[in-house]
Amino acid sequence: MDKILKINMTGDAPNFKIESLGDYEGLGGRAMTSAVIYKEVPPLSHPLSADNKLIIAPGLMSGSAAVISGRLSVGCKSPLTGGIKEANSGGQPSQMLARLGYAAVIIEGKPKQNNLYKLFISKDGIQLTVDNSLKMLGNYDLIDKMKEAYGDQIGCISIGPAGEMKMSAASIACTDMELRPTRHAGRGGVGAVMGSKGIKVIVIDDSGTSIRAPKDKERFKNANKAFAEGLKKHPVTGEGLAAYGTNVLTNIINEAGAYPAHNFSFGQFKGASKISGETMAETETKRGGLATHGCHKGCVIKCSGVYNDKDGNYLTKQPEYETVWAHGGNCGIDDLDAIAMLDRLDDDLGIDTIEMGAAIGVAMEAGLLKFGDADGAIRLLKEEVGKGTPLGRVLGNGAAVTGKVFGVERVPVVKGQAMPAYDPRAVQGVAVTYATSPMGADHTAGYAVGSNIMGVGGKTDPLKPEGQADLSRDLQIATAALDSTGLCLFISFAILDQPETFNAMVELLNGFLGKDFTADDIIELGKSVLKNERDFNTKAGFTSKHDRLPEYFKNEVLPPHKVTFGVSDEELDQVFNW
Amino acid sequence: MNIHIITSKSGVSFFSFLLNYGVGVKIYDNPSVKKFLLKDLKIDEDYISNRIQTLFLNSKPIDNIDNAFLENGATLALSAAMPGTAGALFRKKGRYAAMRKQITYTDNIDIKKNKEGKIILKLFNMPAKELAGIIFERGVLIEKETLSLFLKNYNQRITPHIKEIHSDCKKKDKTIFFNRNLKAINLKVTFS
Ligand code: SF4
Repeated sequence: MDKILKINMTGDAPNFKIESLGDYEGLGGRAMTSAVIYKEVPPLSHPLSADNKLIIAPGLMSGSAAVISGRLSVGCKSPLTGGIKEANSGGQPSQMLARLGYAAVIIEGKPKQNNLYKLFISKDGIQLTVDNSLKMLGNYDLIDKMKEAYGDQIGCISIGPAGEMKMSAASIACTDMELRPTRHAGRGGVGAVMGSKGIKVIVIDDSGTSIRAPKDKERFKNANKAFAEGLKKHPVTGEGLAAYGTNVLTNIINEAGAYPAHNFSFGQFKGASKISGETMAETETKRGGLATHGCHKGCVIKCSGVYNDKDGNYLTKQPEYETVWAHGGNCGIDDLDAIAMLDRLDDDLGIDTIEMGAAIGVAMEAGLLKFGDADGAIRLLKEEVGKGTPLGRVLGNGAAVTGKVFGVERVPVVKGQAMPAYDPRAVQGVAVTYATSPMGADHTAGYAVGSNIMGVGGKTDPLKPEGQADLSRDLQIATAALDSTGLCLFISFAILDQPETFNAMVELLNGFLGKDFTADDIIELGKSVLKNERDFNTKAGFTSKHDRLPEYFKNEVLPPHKVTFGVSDEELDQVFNW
Repeated sequence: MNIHIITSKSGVSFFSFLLNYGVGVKIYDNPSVKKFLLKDLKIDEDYISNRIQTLFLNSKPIDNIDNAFLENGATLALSAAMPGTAGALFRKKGRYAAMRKQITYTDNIDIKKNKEGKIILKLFNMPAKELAGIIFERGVLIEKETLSLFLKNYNQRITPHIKEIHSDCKKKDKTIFFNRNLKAINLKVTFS
């Protein structure tokens, strides 16, 4: 990856140029997106203006033979939070862009006319063409059209109607191994920024390219083998995720009383077992779908699956835990088929499942629908959001806007972004990350990714009652580093528990890059990413007041544990005090 | 009503569904969780230490199974290690246990002493599949609501696996188990 593709959409005739990496040499994934935003996007710019940039960056090892390294980072100033954003996606495009040699695609400016463009990238060059026939197509129909035009050896990065309507919850879809638009850079409204640039789809054809070669072949090969073996032998990465997907968490989080039900009103949901990972895997297998499937080639964990309808026809990919919660327990819905349909609609419209589920939950709280009304939720998504009615546009702009419009106090957002599926009162350490992450409430911002082995923050006593800020900081640093490599966050348990697997991961990176990074270097990388992000947000007007949960979490008692959020503001302010 | 089902070996795994919802199990003299798993359920010690990584007693994550005690009416849930930050922090004695300290089971919880009692036992994910055999062999109480949900989902698939059904020690026609009017039952499942 030795070049950057810059697309300038300004004026009557958008143009492109290919540049060398310059200051961005050696960066990938989130490190790349956040560095470009920090350096090139005016912090006070409007997210949908010509000044904002959309950066699409494969992880450092994407396109190589490194296992599970095909994650893609998408960054911009977020229309949802007003701060910096990195949204991460699986699927094939990361590998393909990397094999074509692009460390980033940067889309800047804004077209003068209301045209919609498609961008085609192959080894033979770049084509940027107007194609208004694509207007308001859902992602599934859009990809069918691209297949007709370019064949089935392509990968696509696209937006649905939500992105074209510049909804703040709009996502960017990436196609999977079957060329379905099922993997999404979901959070923060990145799809709206792509929509504002007038680009509907980026079609990538990597034929004629070859796998990216490591600098030190032997070292890379051995490390890759050890890393894959480590992932396969661990019960979470080698067994649990493959058998049940991330939705295996439903029963556990519910049992813990940390499952936010009915718009964060309760910590448990009566219908949890009906929508659990165990039930979903069983349903998928019974209907001829798949309970185990990878989102991109080279994934050895395979946490995904294929969800068929009652007649055995493909409906959607296996909905993830967060989606099942957002559209399920959060809205009082315990019908897996309805949840799968909502997931399909989200993917087709190109909208974040968490934000959409949270917005519908807030609308239910406002009395627009009853909790548990699955048909009503489907109708809201299809008829209102999908058609861009005024109500649909309110919902499509996320939970915070929906709460404001309908006068609801219980709105579970931080920095304007909806919280994921862990109630902050029951798992207060995760809530510290929700509050302080530069991304807004985000469960992946502080992932348990081996910070202990890296020794980030020294040795914290796990059972010490204080120290939630320390733990959250460690996790945020480790996550920022991992998000830059292209490796999937779900490797976390194996590298957390097995020092030899963590070492294999570092060796893999070193073998690939021909470097001798130590754990300290990786910590420094994570810190530098977070520093860029925090600095950008500060310049965009964020203060410590934005690193707070909504007040009601401090006052409303969550059953069954009868707890409120108790981490002090002073402790929250310590998170980035390194 | 007592029902004893004899299935094929692979038939037992269908019953793991019931464990997700919870089954009733008798306890005696307020055992510790460790004693209950080891002595009453007869789960292998290695399995308890290594495979069962996440435990909840009345929804409270447990770090020390020697010092958590069962009382009549309690709910005990068992799981393997789970993914993500949530999985990491709910794990027993995990590095991130402090992140859920507000809801952690503490040793000084007062329990009501009883000679005999009944708890709800829930098993999730891999342990549900792997321990279904020994738990159903021991016999459990299934509530009506759980039973009807089970029969609705598994009726057709489980029938070919059932070899014999005994009710109160008498051999019965298979249909007795699929009778929609069944109330709560004591269920024992073995395979031959
Ligand atoms: S573990 Fe899951 S999310 Fe991660 S790369 Fe594999 S299939 Fe995709």
